[in-house]
Amino acid sequence: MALCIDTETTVVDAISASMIDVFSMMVGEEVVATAQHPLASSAFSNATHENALTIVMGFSGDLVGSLCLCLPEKAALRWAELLIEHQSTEIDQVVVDAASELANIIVGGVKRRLSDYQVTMSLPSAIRAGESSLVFASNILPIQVGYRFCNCDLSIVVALVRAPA
Amino acid sequence: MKVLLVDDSGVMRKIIARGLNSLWIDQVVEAADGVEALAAFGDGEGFDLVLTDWNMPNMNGLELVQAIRGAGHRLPIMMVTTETEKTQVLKAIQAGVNDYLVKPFDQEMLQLKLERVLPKPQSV
Repeated sequence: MALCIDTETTVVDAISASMIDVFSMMVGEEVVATAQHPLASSAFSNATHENALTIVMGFSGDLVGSLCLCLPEKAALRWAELLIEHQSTEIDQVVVDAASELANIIVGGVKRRLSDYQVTMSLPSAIRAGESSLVFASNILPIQVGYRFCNCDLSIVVALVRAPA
Repeated sequence: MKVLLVDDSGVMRKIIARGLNSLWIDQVVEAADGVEALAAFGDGEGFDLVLTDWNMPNMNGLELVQAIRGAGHRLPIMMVTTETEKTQVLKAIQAGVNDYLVKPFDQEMLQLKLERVLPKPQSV
């Protein structure tokens, strides 16, 4: 089951607008969208461990599912450095907390922009895994949206469906 | 001037405290939830402002505001949150919140909001 094209466009536009806001206001940096495509359905058989971090935020209400912020190590470390001047060579608890806060604020901005939908967000959950390790139930058709900031790539996986009427 | 800063995110507390310390705030007392905040607040002596997140474990920001106002304290309270849904905002105002700082925010917005609830002392 996929979001209808209008809803998908609305959600992705809300994500991109929120990303731009967060990066410009919190750390004074530009972020640009790089790509958008369905998440590879072969993820289940090709799941690999990556030195990366994924923050999952659940949605309930009119839209059900999750948004997953996928940060390769470089992006996670850079974000923590920009946000709170935390210098680290590996993903530690502070980096996880900074990434969780990034996801929280992005999704908060998405929720504000989806004013036609009644949605509730969960608290963020952090997973030490990359986007290729994400798998979803077969009735979900996730979309992956790529972004770049400060020569670092990250992506957001949108795995949402309209709640049954 | 002394501020009570309440947020379960250590990252957000660091960001906001850094912002406050670069303005006219002399002391920032931090707490990770409403229960810790009330313990730190005590009888409110010396505090000029409370900055609180909404969603926190043990006691959330709304409950904290209700507790502070229920005890008769009239100092300004500002909510720092991503929550802007109308019914939630109304709840906060009814509880006694003076203003909102919506995430994301930059230093300029923090200063603007601070000026509205806790103007810079003339001597600074």
